[in-house]
Amino acid sequence: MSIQSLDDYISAKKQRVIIQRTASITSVAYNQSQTLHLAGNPGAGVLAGSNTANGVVPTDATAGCPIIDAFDSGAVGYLSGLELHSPVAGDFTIYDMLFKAGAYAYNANTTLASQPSFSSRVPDGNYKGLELWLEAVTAFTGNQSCRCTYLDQDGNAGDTGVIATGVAPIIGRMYRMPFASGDSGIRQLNSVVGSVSTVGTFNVLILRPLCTVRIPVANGIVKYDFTQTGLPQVYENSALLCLPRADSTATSTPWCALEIANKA
Amino acid sequence: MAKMLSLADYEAAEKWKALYIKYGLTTAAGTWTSLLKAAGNFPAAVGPLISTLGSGVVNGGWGGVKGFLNLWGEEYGYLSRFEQGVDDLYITKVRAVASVPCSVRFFDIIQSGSATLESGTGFDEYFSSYEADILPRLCGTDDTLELWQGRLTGKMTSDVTATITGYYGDDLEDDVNISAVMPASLVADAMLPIPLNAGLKRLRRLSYLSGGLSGAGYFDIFMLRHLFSYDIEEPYKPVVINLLQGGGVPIHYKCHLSAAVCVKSGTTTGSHNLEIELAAH
Repeated sequence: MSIQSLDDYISAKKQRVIIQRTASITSVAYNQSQTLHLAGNPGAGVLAGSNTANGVVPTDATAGCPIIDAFDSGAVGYLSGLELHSPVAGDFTIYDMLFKAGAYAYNANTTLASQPSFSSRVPDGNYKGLELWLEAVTAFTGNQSCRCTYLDQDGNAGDTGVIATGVAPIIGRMYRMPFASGDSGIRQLNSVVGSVSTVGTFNVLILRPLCTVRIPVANGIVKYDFTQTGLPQVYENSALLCLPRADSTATSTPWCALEIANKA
Repeated sequence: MAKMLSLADYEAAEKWKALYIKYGLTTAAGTWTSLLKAAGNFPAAVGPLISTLGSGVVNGGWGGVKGFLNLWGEEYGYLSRFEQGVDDLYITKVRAVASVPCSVRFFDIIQSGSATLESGTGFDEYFSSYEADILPRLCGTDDTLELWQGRLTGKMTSDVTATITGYYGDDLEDDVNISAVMPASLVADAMLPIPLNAGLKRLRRLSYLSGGLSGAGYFDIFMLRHLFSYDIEEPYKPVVINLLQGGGVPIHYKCHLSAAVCVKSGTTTGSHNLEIELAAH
């Protein structure tokens, strides 16, 4: 039912999934940017979220995310390898995008209802380590503040409080929302309140980080095998993202090949 | 489905080493440059591919075309065993050395085609690849293929917009047109990825190429199956990829193994020397 030995890895069915961007956007040095909406392979997706009232659970069918072919019946899937090239130095993190709500106006005050569950994409039902992010859909005027309420990793009510981001986000810029003290994950987004800024729209994402690599020198390649990725589980409907934190101020045109192994 | 299923299978497999030696081509830092036309230990391509394959836009065919290392294993008596499906072929280890700091990618050119433009005319050609030609080259994997363009010879006098038609569905019934600009600024041997249409997930096959009407020159279109990559941090410092570091890649015995290099500085791709361990099982 899973990879439990070297022989299991060798015999596992594998597929290479490509995430490549051929267009670049301006970023803030060493701050994460969303790039799913840029041209490349797969083709560009749509930055603006499509639902503010409930949110959606993106899948590999979501535009901008790579398609993952079906696993063998009863198989468990893993990120078993990663190769990444980038024309600029920086960190790159592979995520499974579990939830997306937006696009919210700068002054939104929305209580979500009937949020779809992403529990089938959380290994062992362990919500610890899931991350809450904002991403700018259109540029902001004024430094944005935001408050989100949620259910934490154990299903208890959580509240970020009003977080002054201290920035007027440019398009694609992402901002990690801190949880309330004692919380280490999130299982549901309940409300979104924006303030201070006078212009701008944003999405709220729940992301599951899978693996982070660094390109130390421009035009370098980094290669991780399964001992380095740590074999995080992925699903045949995972919405995979490869998000840059470039050292410089452009996301550039990274190429990433992910090896996904599945073993019944 | 791959037949090498365990370390014991790897140990038992018959192995040999293929040598891949290529010497420098002119390049620019940050530009992916094909080594198809570089001199080395086997005949270089005489570009564009059209000149080695006959007229029209063609698929690469299987083997025997200049520029590709022959992995068939005739000398080990394996050719007939591959042809009959008794054994499968794998790249199980790579030892690579290069004379310049760079990134290197190796891939199987699953489909390729060249267009020759005469000023004021268009081009209008079919790829001659069909499902039966391509499926074996995927070796039972679900690997995503990559669409790239390149220029292996000559130079276009102005940008040319081409329409590339390909299939994106599993059933080869859903086709899509991709508009791609072939920039006249592309330097010799350079390769560029072609972005897919917004929302399009992947291409399965190429079928048709048309466009032109302005400019003159040549360009090539490639559908690539990625095999392995590595980073050369220091000149002449060997890099080894073993079975468990992404080796063990199943490849077709008539694979069109080819490489592209992206240097971190300087103007030459440098010299490349690879020992590629092949295993039949």
